[in-house]
Amino acid sequence: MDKYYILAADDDPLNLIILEELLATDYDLACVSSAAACIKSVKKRKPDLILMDVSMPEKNGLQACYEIKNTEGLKQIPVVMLSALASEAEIEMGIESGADSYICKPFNESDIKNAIDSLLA
Amino acid sequence: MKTDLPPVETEAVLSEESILTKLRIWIFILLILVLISSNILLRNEVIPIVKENSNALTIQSGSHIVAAIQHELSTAKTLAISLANMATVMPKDEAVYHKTIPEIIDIKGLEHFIAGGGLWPEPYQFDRASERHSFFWGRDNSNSLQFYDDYNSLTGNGYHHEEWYVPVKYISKNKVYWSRSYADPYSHQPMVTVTAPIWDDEKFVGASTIDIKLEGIKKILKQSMTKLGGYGFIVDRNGKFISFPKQNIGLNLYEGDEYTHLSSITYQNNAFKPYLEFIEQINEQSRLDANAVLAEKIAEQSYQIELEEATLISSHYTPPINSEHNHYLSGFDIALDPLLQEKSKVMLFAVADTQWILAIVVPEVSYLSLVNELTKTITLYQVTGVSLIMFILFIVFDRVFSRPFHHLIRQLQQAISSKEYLSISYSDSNEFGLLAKWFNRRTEQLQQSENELRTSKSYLQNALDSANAGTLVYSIKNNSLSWDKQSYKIFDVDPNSFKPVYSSWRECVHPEDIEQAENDFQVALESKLVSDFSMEYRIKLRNGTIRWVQVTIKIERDEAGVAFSCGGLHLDVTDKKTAESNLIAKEAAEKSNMEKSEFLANISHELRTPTHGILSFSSFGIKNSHTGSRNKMNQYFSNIQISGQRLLALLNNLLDLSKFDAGKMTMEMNESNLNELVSICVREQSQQLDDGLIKVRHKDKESPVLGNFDKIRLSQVISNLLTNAIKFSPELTTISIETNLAEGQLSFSIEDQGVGIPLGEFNSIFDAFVQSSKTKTGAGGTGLGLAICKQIIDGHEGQIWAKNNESDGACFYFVIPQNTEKK
Repeated sequence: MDKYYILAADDDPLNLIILEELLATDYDLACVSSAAACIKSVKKRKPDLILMDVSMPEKNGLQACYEIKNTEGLKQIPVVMLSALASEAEIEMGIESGADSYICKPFNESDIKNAIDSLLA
Repeated sequence: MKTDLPPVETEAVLSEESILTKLRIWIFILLILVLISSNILLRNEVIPIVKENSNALTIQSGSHIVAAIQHELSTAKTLAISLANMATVMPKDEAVYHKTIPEIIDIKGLEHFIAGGGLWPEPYQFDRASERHSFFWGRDNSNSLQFYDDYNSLTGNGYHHEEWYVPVKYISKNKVYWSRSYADPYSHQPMVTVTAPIWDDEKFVGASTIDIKLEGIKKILKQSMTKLGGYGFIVDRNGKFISFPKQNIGLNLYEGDEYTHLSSITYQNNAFKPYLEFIEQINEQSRLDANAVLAEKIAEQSYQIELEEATLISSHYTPPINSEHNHYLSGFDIALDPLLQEKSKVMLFAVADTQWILAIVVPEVSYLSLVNELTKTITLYQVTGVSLIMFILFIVFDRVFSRPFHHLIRQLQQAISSKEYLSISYSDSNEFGLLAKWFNRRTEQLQQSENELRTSKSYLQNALDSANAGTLVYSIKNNSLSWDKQSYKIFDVDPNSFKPVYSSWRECVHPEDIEQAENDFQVALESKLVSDFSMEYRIKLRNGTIRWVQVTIKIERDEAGVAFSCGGLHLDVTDKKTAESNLIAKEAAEKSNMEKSEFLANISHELRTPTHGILSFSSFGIKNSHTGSRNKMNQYFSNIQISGQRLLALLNNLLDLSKFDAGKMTMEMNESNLNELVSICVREQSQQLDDGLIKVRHKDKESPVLGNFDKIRLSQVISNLLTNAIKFSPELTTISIETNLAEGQLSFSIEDQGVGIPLGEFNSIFDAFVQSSKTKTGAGGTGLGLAICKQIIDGHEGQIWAKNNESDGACFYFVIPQNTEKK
């Protein structure tokens, strides 16, 4: 059985390293460092799930999520928002943009894996 | 209505301006004109008629005199004719003649008049033997008739060639010839003889004569002239006087015993010339009418008559007599009558048959006395009448006009001088009454208007009071300021000591506000299109408190747009201002709170990110502590270190900012090279630049740009700006850095090709706790970097700012003085 293909977008390389450390063995993980690159990559190869950082320069994660969730053929892809912005209002904004799940940094292995598994199940 | 009137200011009309006086003068002039014109009428129309009548009256008087004279003469004439008729029937007997003739002549009562008479037969007619045989009786000294036989004397001239005898041969029966006048041989009285022819069967046989004394005629004339007030005289056809009034003006009236001729008198006094000329004129007419043959015969037969007189005798001419005025011939004025010694009027009358002319001389004064009397009387009546009319007119005028007029004026003066609305009373319903009525109506209207005005004014005042608004009017032309009570109250000035001029207002305004307020006001006045203007300024009250005043005015301008006046309201807006400032403070506090919350959220985010790194990599290390390679472990620790460093940097920033906020940041000023500093910063960030595929172009980096500044702090600024530029720069772009030294200023600029700064954020990006929205999108940061930069540049007494490039990207600048003194 093929591994699920997961696309992660974050401008902070340290964060991408952490995600790779956590998920690379169980999933087919690809990393991009901006929202624009993320959308480009999604259109190239449709992932089974997207991990999206919120704070990115130029286009941020919320905008990218909204765009994907409003694009025919892409909208069914589950999007998990990853953010250090931890207030309730911020989480609400993430959900409004169409995100399927919202995980606050810092998170541990089980937090993210549970979220991914519940969305891919 | 008030009963006791205030003292009325009585104002009299100047007498030369007064309508009443003018009317009076006009009435006076009118009546004088009436008087003058009636007088002219009198003189031009009435007096000539009166004169004419008076003339006619004089002529009538003259005619009466002539008639009286003729009556006297006709007695003699009748007697002469009777005597002639008797002669034809009497027997030629001397005794009969001597008995009859004296009886006929001597008429009782006429002794003074008839001086004598007789019969004078032609040669040889009474007695074939005697040529001269007359029967003549004359009065002697005792006035008794005596027979005179002188003419019968054969030695004398006889009587057949006498002047009084010859002409009678040629006149018909019952006609008479009047002789020249002559003097009575005894009494020397003037006399005249009337001769009548005796015809016997168409044959002239002799003549009868009656001699008359002219004293009677003189008497008649004298008596009549006394009544008329002048004198009269009679001349015969030769101009010889038959009568002349007694006089003593030095004229010689006699030639021997007889009256002289008019020509002689004229010779003595030229004033008689008009009489002579008139007689000449009549004689001239007579000569034209004369019978030349007869005249020659008469002149031939009488040794006493010259041809000239004979011509007149032969003439049947009688002067033309005015038919209306019997006997009147003509009249003329004489400038200075020699006898009366004044201007006189002469009237000439013909005494029929005799060829005599009666002259009546009346002095003009007496002649005009009637006229003058009449004029006087009429004038008296006129003056009296006119005076009476004038008096009545003045009284009527006074009652009808003057009194009501003055009554009205007095009432009007009282009514208008009074502060109350007084009606005026006028009982009559004439024009003055109407005037009073309409004045009263206007007064009522005024009162009503004033009440309405007062009401609306009180509404307005209430509105102004309730708004705590004071009014102002400022006349720019006169520099006069007019405030109401409320304005004085707002400005807290004493109305009594306040001088209402512009400078007084100026003194009230807070010194910090006056320049702005005055400037704004002047600009508004000078801007021709501005009509409404409002401003707010502070004033300092007497107790030292500050009050905010809002003034709202409307500016009045002339046609050229030049402001000449303005007026409007003062409002005490201190409460509003306080509320406003409270609101601003509150908003600022709220904003500050929000910024702090936002900052805390950011801090939380920024703390979470490195914390996340530290926690994640440390958990990876723990998990792989047995299986993980050394290399892997090294990597984990490195990442933990990076995250820890980030955390430290963040904490340092926070510390710096709190130092700046507390004013505890110190600058270490040393001479350094700005370009060198920039190069070090770029080198430090070379990894990030390489990662982002971003190039840095540092212009003229080799040439030193030297200045006094805190090297460490300024490198912090440059690094921060560079980090931002890198953060916002897309891949494969270039960051341009320039430094310069000019006019004692060190300048630095850094330009990227990123997203630029959103409009509206240029002013706030340097504030603490504020992050660019672009930053929030994900570039990350504490939101403190630029705030710290600004604090550092401020510490160097320099300026930092940002702007967007014309194409992509933002550009940050700062300038600092080359030599900043140590702080």
